[in-house]
Amino acid sequence: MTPPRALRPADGGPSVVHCPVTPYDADGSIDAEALASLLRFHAQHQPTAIALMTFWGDGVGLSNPEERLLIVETARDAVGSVPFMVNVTTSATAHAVDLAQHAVANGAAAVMVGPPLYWRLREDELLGHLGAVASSVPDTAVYLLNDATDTSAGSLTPALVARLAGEHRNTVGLADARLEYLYLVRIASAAPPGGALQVLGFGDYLVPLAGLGAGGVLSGVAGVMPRTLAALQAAVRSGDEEGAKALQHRCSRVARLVADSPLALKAIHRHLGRDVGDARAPSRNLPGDVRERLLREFDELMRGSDEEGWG
Amino acid sequence: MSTGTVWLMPDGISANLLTPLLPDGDIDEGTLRRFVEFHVGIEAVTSLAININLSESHNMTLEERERAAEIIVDQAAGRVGTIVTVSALTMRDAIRLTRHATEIGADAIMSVPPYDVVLDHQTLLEFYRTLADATHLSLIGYHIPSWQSGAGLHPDLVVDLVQAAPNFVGIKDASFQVRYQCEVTAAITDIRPDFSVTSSLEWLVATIGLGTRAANSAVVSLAPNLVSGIVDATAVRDWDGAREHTRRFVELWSAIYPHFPASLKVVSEEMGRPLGPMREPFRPMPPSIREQLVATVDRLGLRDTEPVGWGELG
Repeated sequence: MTPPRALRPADGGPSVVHCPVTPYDADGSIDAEALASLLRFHAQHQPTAIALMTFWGDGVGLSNPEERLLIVETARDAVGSVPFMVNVTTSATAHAVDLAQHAVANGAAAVMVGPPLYWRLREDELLGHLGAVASSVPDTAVYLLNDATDTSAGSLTPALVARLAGEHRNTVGLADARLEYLYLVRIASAAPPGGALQVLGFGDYLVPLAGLGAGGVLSGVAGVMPRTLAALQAAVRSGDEEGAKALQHRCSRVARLVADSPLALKAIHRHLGRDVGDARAPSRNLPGDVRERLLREFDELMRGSDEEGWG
Repeated sequence: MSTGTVWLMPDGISANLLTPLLPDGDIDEGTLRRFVEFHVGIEAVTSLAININLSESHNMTLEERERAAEIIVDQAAGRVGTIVTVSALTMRDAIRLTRHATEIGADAIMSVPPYDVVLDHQTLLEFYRTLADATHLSLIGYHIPSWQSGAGLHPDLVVDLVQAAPNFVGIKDASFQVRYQCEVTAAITDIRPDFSVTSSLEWLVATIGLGTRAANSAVVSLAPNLVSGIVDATAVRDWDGAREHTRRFVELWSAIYPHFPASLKVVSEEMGRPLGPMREPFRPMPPSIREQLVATVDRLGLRDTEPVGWGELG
């Protein structure tokens, strides 16, 4: 059987994977209706894929398995033909396997899994955990997640990645949140014989990542500037260096403004006419003055754009 | 003091120079001049970075740093740019080194924020403004957050400095982070399009799309053809070629970095260009590590693809 393939756009250009926030209603429950609207919004911009439960989608904060299942089922019904992948990184192997299998049963095109949260593990334990997830969904693409947060202390060394990719043919790529030059170059050489790993960088830095040979990006700001990101993707694909540079600078400025904050993204969503709810405890909404400054600077950076409304 | 036309960081490679030492630890002036000639002869090298950390500047007296700078600037004789690092523990020493660099006719000074302390935005701004005001030379900031407890040249600071000091022309980025390079470049490009954000090591393949045209390199002293290959391939957008050169570079760098900077001298000696010992606290390289470095040189075939000995370049 042909092993699963990495998520790539049909035109052969770089991949742009949207990473949505997770909407909550007033009591802090997942607002499935708002989530469905948000996912349809992302899907209509035709990203290469949609990634659920990344850190922009409060992946770590979704401790309740029921919530994770609800998000997957909502995506199944909302994204249409756009592939979606599910981050199944948890602290327990059994939970990660359950979630991966549930995701695949509900149509996920890929799962993403990183070292277990919170634990410091030996390499054989890491291999066991990641390998168990890959083995549990043998016909589905698996992306390893090299996280940037301290909640995940495991280390996906290039050697470990190569070994996993060699032992589990459905390991098609690596999602890297650390974005260190040296690691990115090393990981590009880590593919097993006859294979190739697709490296996707968390963030919106498509120009340098494409230069390094990475396959694309997982974007948090995609929800608030999807057209700009699509234009950047097209510019990189066509080799329009000047156009790509200008668009990259715009994306970098917005990414810096948002600073990886789901709360900032939610505030901008609402500002643009797409209400995706508020923070839930223990997070709190941005203070009024911080929010006003954020939105003022966003408007300044995006002057002349048409990134408003639900479309 | 900053007036008139400012020197801008040229396209190409800024070579990070080691300091050749005699067996007794004194600066080996003859070899240093030869070392400068070697780099001037490399087409991709457009400037020389003097007295940076790998030059063992931390282990040198102020007088020795001044003497090394004098030799290098004199030997370069305007054929390539000269950038004197003035990083120091005290403002007074940094100003002294700045004035000396100005007197000997260097093109630029470069400095990290003061070592070992975390300073707020305004204090850092004043620190760099003081340096900029002390010279008509160009000023380059050195962003190496691992030396400042995670701080360094935040993009907001870079923007404020550009607006405050016309001779602040660039930063050397040693964060090794894609994100920082993107964010600082995006922050500055509309304000000062000719501002230079150079990456340490040979990451041109990633940064050239952001508008970067220069990079800093220590490896160019060891493998000038490899480094030049990256420069040439990126210049003509031969991405596959540039990535292959970069992959080879990373293989070499991965062997060197754990024992940096002493490993640079070991490999230089292997390439027929001995630069003498390191000063204590560095000790002679253990044979087992030397063997690993030599094995890497052999595996990459550097003796077949790179200049061995001083040759015509030195």
